[in-house]
Amino acid sequence: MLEIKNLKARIEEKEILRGIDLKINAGEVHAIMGPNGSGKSTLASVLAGREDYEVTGGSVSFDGKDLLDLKPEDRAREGLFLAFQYPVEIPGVSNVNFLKTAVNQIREYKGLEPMAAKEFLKMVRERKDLVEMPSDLAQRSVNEGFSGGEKKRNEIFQMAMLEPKLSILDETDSGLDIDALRVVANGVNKLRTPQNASLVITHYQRLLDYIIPDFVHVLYQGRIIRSGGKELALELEERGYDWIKEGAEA
Amino acid sequence: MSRLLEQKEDFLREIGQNLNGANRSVFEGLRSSGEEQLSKLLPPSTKEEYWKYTKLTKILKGTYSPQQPVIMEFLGESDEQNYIRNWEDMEAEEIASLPKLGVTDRKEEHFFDALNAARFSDGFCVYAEGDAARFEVYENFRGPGSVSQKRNLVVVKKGASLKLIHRLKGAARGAFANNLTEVYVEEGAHFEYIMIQDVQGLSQIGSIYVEQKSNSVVRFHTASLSGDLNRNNLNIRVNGENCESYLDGISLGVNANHIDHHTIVDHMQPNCMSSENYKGIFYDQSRGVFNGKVFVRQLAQKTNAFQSNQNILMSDNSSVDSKPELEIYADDVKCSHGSTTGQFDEEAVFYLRSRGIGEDSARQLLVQAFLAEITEAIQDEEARDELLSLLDLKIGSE
Repeated sequence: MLEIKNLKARIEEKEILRGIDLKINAGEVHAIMGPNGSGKSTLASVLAGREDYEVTGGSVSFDGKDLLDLKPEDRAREGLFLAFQYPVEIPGVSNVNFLKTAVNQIREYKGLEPMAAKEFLKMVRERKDLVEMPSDLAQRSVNEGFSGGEKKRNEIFQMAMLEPKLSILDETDSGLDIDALRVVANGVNKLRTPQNASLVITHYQRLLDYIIPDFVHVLYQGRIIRSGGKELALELEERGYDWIKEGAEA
Repeated sequence: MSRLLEQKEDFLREIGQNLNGANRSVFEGLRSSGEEQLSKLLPPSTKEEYWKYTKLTKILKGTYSPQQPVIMEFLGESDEQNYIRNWEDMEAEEIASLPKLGVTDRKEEHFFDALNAARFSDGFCVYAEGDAARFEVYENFRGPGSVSQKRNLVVVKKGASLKLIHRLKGAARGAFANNLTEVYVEEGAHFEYIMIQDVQGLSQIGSIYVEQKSNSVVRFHTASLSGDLNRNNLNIRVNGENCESYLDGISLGVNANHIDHHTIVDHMQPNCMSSENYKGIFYDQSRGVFNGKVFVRQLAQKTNAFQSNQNILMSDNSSVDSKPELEIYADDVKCSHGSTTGQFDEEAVFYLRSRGIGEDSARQLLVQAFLAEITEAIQDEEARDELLSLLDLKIGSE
């Protein structure tokens, strides 16, 4: 589904991604871990199309398309979803209205008719229950005045509504208490199908107790320096990053 | 001869004198005092504080065709209790029974007020005694270089309620308008005024003088959506206790348009509240001005006054001068003001795009959201919907 080859990117003059290779197939959950400043969030931003970053080399193919050639909205329409580390507050735009616009523009891109209002509202009801999203949050302005946990829950709600092929969760666990974490993880698990895939970016092992990855990759200084199964996350939790870093630098 | 004096004489000659249906003996006093003022006053220049950010050269140097009438049309049911009429259609005694036209006792009177008094050609008179009066005025601008000077009067009697929707419509290259509206809102009366300015090529100075009596509520909404120059002077004298005054506005600047909102709220009596909220979006090389002044006189204890002006600059070449001001002489009051001018929130644009919403739609959605606070404040549903669809259309094409 996603194939990243030797991806390099920088912000201003600073090289942050220095040759990433990663392949994700449908049905898989990949986790990317790594110390602060290793390039985890940059990778998520580059994949979603944030313009602050300049891609200086490599390629990314998404279901056969050149992802880097697409505008951010077209990446979303092709089925890529980024759950933001810091979701943006948008006063005056209601969640439901915003999602309706998004759903219908994605449908238009695929050559489908806009969704009927009734059908859309039914979908809102179902999906908000799925991710335990309170009704009033769905009606309110996007993220305005939401708590940290509510914002992250709203990200998962949007993910449920847009039905992406590949979801990138950027530090979704940051700032969440254990109950909120469980709710968010449950949502992600319920949305998992053999046809879609997830890339979970996290600093801590904690989230991976709830979202069990098939593969764990360690990112350090802009490169994946080790990959393994879910047990790699546990080992990192126990031993920290230093032993891998030393190996990588040696 | 000074440059300004020369400009004044050329200008007065160009715009001519076309009194039309308002050439009546009942207005003689007003006209002669206007003429007298006009002979003394010079056109304002940017050296004056009140006109500092708005250059009038374009108006003063314009070439006009004053014989082209700017037609007014009215909508709404007139009867004994509530009516809207042209001056032409009113009996002299009827006019005499209404508050006398003239704002000469106000210190803020300027050249254009005097010009209007001396040469107004027409205007509407709205009178409301009932509790649900609603009228609409269309002013249609067509001919290039047309000149329109309307003198309007609004009287909302004790306990009455009036909604007035006033539209300036059409397209008229190099046209000039100088309307002056006097508004009397009596005890316990309610007045909502919605002004939509949407004439391509028009330069207009619109002045509104309001006198508010106790327990009355006024709501003024001014939407400046197109026109070369819009200068709106809204002056409210709150001369009674327990009044509420709401003033809000939308500036939508495109090309080299200039939109200027000047407001004065003068709190003369205790226990009143006023709230001002103006928002602007400026594309291309457009310019915005906001100057809101609130006076709280010594007698006006327990005044609650709030002022806000927020602007978004959509291009590097657009600009805004914003100046909220408070002048407080009472000691037990609650007043606040705030002003922000900034760029578009690009992080919000990216957020929407990352959900599959195209860049243009994302920007449009955010502009609408920014202005929603103002449109939602309009109580008249029909006018609100009209303004919303106008905004959709205009923002969609930017």
